[in-house]
Amino acid sequence: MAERAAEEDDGTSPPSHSTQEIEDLLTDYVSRVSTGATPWESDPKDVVVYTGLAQLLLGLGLKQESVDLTHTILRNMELVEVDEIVYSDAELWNHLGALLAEQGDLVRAKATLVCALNRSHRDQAPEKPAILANLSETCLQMGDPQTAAVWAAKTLDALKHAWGDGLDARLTADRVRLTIARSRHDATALRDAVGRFAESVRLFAEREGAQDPRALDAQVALAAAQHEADPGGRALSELEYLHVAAQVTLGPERRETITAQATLAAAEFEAAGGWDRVNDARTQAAVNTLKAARDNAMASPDLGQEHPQTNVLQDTLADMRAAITPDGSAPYHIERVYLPQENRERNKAKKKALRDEPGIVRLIAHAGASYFLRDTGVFYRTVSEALKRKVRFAVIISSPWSTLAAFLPSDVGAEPGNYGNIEELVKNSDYYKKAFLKVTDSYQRLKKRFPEGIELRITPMDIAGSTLLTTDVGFYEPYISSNPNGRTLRGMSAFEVKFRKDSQYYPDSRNEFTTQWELSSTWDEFRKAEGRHIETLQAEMQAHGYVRVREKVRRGEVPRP
Amino acid sequence: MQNKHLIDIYTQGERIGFGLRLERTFALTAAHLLHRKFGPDVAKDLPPLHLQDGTEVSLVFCNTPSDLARLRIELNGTRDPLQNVGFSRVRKGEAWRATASPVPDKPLSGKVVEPNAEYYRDEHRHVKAMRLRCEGQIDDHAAYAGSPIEPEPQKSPPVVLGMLVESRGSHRLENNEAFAVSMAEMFRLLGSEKQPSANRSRAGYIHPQWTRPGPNRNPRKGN
Repeated sequence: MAERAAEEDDGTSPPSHSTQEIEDLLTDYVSRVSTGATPWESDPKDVVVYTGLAQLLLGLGLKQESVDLTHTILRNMELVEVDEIVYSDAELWNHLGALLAEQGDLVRAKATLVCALNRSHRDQAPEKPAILANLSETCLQMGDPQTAAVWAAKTLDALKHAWGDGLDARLTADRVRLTIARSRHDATALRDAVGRFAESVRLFAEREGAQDPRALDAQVALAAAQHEADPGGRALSELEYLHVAAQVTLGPERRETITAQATLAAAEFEAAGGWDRVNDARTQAAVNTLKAARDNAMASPDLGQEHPQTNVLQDTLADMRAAITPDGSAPYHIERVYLPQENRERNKAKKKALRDEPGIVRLIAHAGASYFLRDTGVFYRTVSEALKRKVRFAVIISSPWSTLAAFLPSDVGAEPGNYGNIEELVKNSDYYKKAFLKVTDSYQRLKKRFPEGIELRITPMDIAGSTLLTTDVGFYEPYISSNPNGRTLRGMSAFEVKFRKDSQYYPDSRNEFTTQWELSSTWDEFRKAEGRHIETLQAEMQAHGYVRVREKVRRGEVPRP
Repeated sequence: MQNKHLIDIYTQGERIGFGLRLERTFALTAAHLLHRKFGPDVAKDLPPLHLQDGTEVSLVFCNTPSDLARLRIELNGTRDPLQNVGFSRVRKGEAWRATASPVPDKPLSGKVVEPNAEYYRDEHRHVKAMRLRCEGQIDDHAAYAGSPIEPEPQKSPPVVLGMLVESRGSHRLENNEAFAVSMAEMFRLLGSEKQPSANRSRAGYIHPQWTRPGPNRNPRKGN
């Protein structure tokens, strides 16, 4: 953010380093408060000040500092209240709950909002509708629309007895109901929800002004719903107008402006037949508009590169591009390259892909230990959780009885070419005992729990690298060496690339997976034919032994490359 | 047309002047162009308007104090692609140029002298406009009226700062001065009079999430 400020400096603002200094001062201050170096007073007014500071830090893009401070505030409040209620004002807890939700910690947000609700019973607090509305929005964001609908109904009930106009809470509750109606594709419910929300938006815009950020955001949501209910109406023009209004009054990098731009792009893409694979100037312009929204989100202090909303834009952009790109003509685009020292980031990205998957995951791996073995602490838990969500897994791993077994005599001084005991060599190898057997055991346990969810196949052919494909993204890690000893139970040794489904790498990888899937054996087929695989390998190794190339190379009879 | 945010407005094949297209169905032009051509009661006496390609245009309102006339472009079910145009606020001293160039190779350009100069005031309303200094003399202000103005040098995609209107105001006008209504003032005049406070603290408010649309999440109509 400081760099951005420096870039935008027109000579009239103070030197850019002062922005950095302010950020450093804030960071130091939060660090002192969080480590207990600054004494904590139990005065509720201090909570108000600290919560305001945490909100400010979040607005400045200092998310970690905001999170640290929020956790410190809550921890200290809990400790102060060991013997008695000190923070009886429900509003304190409501603000903290909303702040936690904005930080993305929805579970804790909900717990804090429930605490706020309990305090509001005690005090008959006027904030009760606002708390109920926040609970409703939080449940919606947690993916629990049923509970969200209940909280929204309770908000509207509470408003009947509340002081003031209650417009903020009403707007939230009506919007939650609208979102739920849209997701259920119930035309009658949608019309009803649109009517109610339109009235809330009208009243809110009347009170705050139509160009107020929240009023603009609500008008965008309303126009999007109206467009869905009546695609031939004027809502698309309204979305265009609102996007221009948001740019002018708020600026292009404000969250509400980006939402307006993305909503317009999505509605235009739909109206122009993009989802029906129409590829013309209109759908292409809609994709470009969404790309501009994604770029603005990445540059935005409100959102930024890693924000979940930026990821949603990224995913939507890939969806749209894939929908209008004729088969075989997508560009070869790599979104990110991970080097061995970025193993942690790579794993984080893969976990996210697995968590986001709604349908099927395809995996080609040499052994698959990171996915099947709990002890590796890598993806097993994420896979298991996905299976519980009814996600399907199709996995291909290497057979231990492929000719790659020739690499197994790891002792470089051993007599080469002596492969008469290849079965024993394989069965005594770490790869077989610690990876293959354990992976296939784990598979059988998972298969028992999720018979329709998981399918493992074994390929006798060498595979060129590991591939993970979800509905939206793909990862590919090439094997830099044909020696399989470094392929399992380790981090990266070469590099890994991530691509989205609008890249030609995606359909190419899908085709490769389909081919491998058809050429590999099911687990039962493999077990039945395993003896023959071993015999074939033994014969192959004996033939290989006659070549004895390695020995000749060592003797200098065959030149080294 | 190369600049889709710049439109030419015609009546029965005769050109009236420029206009700023804000979105596909919504444009603005300088009200005085219509008044000069059709008299003070334009809403009543206006003959049909159209764009260069024959697309029908209708007048929504004509406002003399701000010199803004709002036009609706009647698309009759057809739509061009979305415009790739940005709209921005203006700063004092910023270099600008008119998008329209009625005299070839002689674009109108200059500096913003005052972003919020008083343009019109009576007991009920006030209108502000950008006071602009132009490079060289302007022989015919009306020739540029209705043209969008952009930052100089122009950006790609283009960015619109405002629209040139009739030159008047409480200041004594030099013949190298012009007025343009800024985008912010246009939206203030078109929408609520209330000024938004973009940085207002929203304690206790949770931003709704934008959710991913798509074929699997949003089934086709009629299916």
